[in-house]
Amino acid sequence: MLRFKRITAEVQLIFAYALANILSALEYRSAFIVQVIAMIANNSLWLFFWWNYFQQFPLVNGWQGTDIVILWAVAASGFGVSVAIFGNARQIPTLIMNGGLDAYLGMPRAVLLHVCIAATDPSAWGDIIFAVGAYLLLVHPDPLHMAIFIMLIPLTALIYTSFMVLLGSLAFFLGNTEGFAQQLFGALISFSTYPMDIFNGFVRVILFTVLPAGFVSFIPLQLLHHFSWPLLGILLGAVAIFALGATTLFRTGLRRYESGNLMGAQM
Amino acid sequence: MSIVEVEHLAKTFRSRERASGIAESMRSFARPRYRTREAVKDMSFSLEAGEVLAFIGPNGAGKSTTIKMLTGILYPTSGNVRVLGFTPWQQRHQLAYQIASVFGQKSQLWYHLPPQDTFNLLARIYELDMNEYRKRRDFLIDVFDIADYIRTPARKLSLGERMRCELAATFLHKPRIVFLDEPTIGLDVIAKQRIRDLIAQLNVEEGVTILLTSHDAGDVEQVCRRAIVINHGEIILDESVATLKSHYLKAKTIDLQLAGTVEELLTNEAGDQQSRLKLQLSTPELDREGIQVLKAQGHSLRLEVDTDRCPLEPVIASIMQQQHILDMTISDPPMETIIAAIYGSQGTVDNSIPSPAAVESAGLLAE
Repeated sequence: MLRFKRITAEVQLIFAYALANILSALEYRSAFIVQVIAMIANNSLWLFFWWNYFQQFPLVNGWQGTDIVILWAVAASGFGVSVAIFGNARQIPTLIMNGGLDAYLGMPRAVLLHVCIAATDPSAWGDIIFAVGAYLLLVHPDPLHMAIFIMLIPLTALIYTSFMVLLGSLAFFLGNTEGFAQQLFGALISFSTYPMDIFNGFVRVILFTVLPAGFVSFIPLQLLHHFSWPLLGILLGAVAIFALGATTLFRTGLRRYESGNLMGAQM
Repeated sequence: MSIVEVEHLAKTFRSRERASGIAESMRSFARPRYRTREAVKDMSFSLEAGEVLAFIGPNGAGKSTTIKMLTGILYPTSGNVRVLGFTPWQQRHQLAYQIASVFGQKSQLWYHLPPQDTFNLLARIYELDMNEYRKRRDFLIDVFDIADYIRTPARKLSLGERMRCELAATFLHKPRIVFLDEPTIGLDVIAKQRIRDLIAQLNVEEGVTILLTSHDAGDVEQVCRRAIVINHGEIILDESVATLKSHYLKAKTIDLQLAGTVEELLTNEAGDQQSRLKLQLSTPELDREGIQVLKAQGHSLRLEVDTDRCPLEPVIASIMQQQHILDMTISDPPMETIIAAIYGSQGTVDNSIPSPAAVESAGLLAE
């Protein structure tokens, strides 16, 4: 009962922050709309490129045009939700370097969750709108597949977020890792939008371990093609391992936190 | 009963050190040299419920670092701390419901949103009952007189208005201890006074314990009853503010802009250039030795008055009888001077702080 109350309180906090972030973004209505449209256009351009490619070569290593649509829809929706709800995870290295964690440490909430939900990027809504739109319009899923797709969104979002937290938390131990974290996170996004079957051997091992692109693209795609409980179990296990790893690394690093004296404001 | 107990608290930071220049930078990259700095050294003190304690010292003295350890933000290198029965860095979560902190240089208000929205969010963060929260919010809006701009985005508020909203936000969850780190920094005289009055009011009405750090001797004098002075991470004085005032806060600086020239007010009794100028007083019973002329040029005059020997009011009245005053500012001595005076009275020398005599002579007479 107590645990249920705790979870309810955390969910309420997530909603409260999501609302505050949306209100903050809407203060600049035009900028918000432009960012969302720009993101939809950016994603659509890539999808158009792949769609044209598959018109020329209908089958590449067993992959079809609709597979790429599903891949992009899963990756963009997971990334979009990760940034729309846990968007501040990308700021962790900066917060560690500038003493920005003070505000969260002084409040009675789980620090990591609080840091992650405290800010978002409005363009993430462009990713979400694009992903759901592309999946509905180009794949025409039945209700069952739509339900699986919706279930996969929070799981992939958690992997993206955990990976960002893992990279960001390295700043506790290594100093300024902002550039390194952005490069590796960019690599994760790139690899998660390419057909997995073009990679073999060592690269494929990498994509299921240190750079978990396989868990945010290949496995969700397989689950949407041929749902199986063991495969879902593997995905849930990966989510648990990455989330636990991220939490542990952040918590361990927090002991080394040195704060700072930079002036600042909650945006 | 002590609600804050600090025993032998210490915090050491390790930082890389190098000289300037590309060659040094490359050398440091290949073979880094580290320096350890003791930000807080063997600090012990306690705080009773309802007390208003000033924690004062110059930049880098260790004030903020100590507050951060008391609120659980930083882990100490050694020592013990109990705040409301909790060890802050181990029971940060439980402690956070009962304390609040305001860092004058870091805003908790959302920059683009009205304070009202930040208040709503804080209600969720502190898990307040929404009916109780609304009553409390309305009470604080009334006390802090912020009804006019509670719906204005924080970015459009003046610093004084913003700070009142910050303080109102701090008291939303009825904290038992409030840590205020430089709450009046950057504020003008009127806004400073308003903030000081509000802090004092909430201390009296709600019995909240306050630990305040400041550079401004006025904050200490008007809000606090006890002061701990720290420098280089060590406590150099723990006294009542009344004692501090009678020993170290007795000198006031008066800056005057006069209608006439300063020569009409001053006299040089020895008649030579080296002797100090004295103020001519229309009230002979005033002790002129308690008045020092720090600067005299054209229409500007700066005096330092020892309020123990010479009350302020008759001095100003005496000047007004002889000259028309266009503008006047009365200020406390800078914190550095107070600390230098404390070191002086303890018979120790701190080379990093200018002595009162040095501060005085640097600004003496016309430049």
